[in-house]
Amino acid sequence: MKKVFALLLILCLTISMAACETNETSDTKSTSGTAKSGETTSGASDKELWGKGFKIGVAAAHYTNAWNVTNTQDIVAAFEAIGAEVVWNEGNNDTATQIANVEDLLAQDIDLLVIKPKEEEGLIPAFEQCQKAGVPIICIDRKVRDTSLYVTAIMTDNVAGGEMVGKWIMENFPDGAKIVEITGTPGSTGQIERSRGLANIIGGNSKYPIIANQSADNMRSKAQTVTENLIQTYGKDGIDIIVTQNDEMAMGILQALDGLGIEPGKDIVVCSIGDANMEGVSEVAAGRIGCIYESTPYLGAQAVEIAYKVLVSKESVEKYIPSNNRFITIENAEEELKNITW
Amino acid sequence: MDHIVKKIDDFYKRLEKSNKWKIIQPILVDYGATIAFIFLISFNILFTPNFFQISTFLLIIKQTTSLIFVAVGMTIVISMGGTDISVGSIMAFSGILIVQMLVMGMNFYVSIILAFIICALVGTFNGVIISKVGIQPIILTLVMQIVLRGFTVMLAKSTVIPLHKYKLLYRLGIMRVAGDIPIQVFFFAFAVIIAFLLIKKSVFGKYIEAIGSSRKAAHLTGIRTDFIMILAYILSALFASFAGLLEMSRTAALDPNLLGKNFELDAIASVAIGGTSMAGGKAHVLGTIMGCVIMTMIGTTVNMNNVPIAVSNIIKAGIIVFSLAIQHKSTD
Repeated sequence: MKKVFALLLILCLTISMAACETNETSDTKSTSGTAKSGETTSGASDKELWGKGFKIGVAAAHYTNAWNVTNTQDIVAAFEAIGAEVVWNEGNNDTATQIANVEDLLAQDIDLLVIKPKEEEGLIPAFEQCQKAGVPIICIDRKVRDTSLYVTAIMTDNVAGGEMVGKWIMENFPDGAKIVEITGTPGSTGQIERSRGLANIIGGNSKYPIIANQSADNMRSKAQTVTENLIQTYGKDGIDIIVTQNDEMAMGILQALDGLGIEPGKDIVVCSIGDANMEGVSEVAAGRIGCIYESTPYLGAQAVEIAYKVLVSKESVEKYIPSNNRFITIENAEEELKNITW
Repeated sequence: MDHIVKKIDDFYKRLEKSNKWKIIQPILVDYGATIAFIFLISFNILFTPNFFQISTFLLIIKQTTSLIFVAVGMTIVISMGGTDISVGSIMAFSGILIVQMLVMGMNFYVSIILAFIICALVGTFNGVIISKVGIQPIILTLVMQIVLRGFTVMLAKSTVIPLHKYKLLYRLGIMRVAGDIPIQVFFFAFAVIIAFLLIKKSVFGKYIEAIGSSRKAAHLTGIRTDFIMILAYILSALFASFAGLLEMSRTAALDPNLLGKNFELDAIASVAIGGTSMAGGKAHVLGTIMGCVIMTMIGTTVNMNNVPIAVSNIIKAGIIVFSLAIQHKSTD
């Protein structure tokens, strides 16, 4: 028994030591992130440091994947760069936690709330409290159902993403192509809009048939399995293009092709609607992914711009602002890779 | 509702009284998975294009290998009357440990062995708390599931870690032997042989089933029940950590949030389909293996026929409900 406990204690010790290490490294990472976005926002030199005296609350939905971490860090850094005081927290992907977090921020007398709402319905009570307190809200990446509760929502235009990829396919495969679509979680807004965008361009065109449409739940491992199975059915010559809906799944597809000895980019071209992270873009640069429509986490600059209109110049703002997404192909991948940190 | 429940109960009573059922039920329980397996295979051969090829079978085995390892461990634990739902998180935990050690520049094999040792310690912890302290296995392993997932996400700094640059790890996922046979096939065979030796041929297997039938009786016959229980949870954790390594190398990436997610559920379902008694006391290794292959093959069938993926969940649920229903014994 004593031996077992001694071993357990050692285990705890090792893990906590490892944990300390990670904290340090992530700290250095975030400071470098600040410096980077500081540069990008310094373009607006005339209104530089207009944020002095304002207190901005940032309520992230969760902090468990690279997109959300980058997104939160970029927004916080952008507001700090204009001299505003920023208080932020994250909701652990839980609606109740995020509501409590918003209340915490309100108690600290914030002038503006920037939030990625966890849910369209569940967050409404928190939004109503903000309205009562006279705190304007900028939604990031998602909105809530009642549009009167927030100033604007900065979101990826998923339909446009699908359309861009559709157009790219038509330009690069003028003689037609057999397309397989591997989608995200069926029924999610992202999945529906991205598929619709693609269908807007190539739907009903007999030169570009979608021969199979399967879901991989946004997971790399599932995308790999689904691709292997589909190639088993149609053969490597029976598929020209695989369109998917995020970089994770695109990487799973590449892994499946590699495992089957099929050359991605030559035998089968992979296109992705969404993400454009470092891993994905470097595969575009290497010619292994055809194109990626970004859904950028770098929304700090846009959020600051809107905050200026709301807090200082009191201009009216559109309810929906599409985020500044890039379209990554082999022509610009090398170049854009330098600006991508996640 | 009462009305329906009564009808179902009546149906069972009539079934159990009939002589034919007394002969059929044990066969269904023991070979239900095999029957379902044969049914699925024949369905696919008849209706699915390009199914009846060696490459399809190799593919299915490749995709099943990680699940097989988890399910073998689960068979041991369940037939002992316990359960271990921390295995999915242990997969991810072993993955992140290996990757962290590789990042530190350690030797590939050393880091694997160290990671397995640490996971075995987690299994020891599970076993000790469950057997000595007497906490319900489902509660304790649920806690471990959450804790280990948290550690994994923290150590990975919330990001997916691509593994292409670790050549040995990458090769482990993608290697093919003799031209076309994925390396996973050998691991599959290894898991099957180990499972048979451990559960069907060794004394350990007999002890496990004895504890599953009645822990008290087993103890009175002189079996060191606590020790055997701890050993079972250690094995479960070890199998899971190996599955983590395989799954991680197969996808050539470590996703701290998703690696091994829901594997515990698929493993429990495979064990249930396979005819291992959910109440403990009877392990059915062949059934578990068939169960795993069926779980994978449902996905394959759905993909290859371009049927919406939701259908595969419905089929899985149907098969599980059916396999549990035929195990039913009326209480009076």
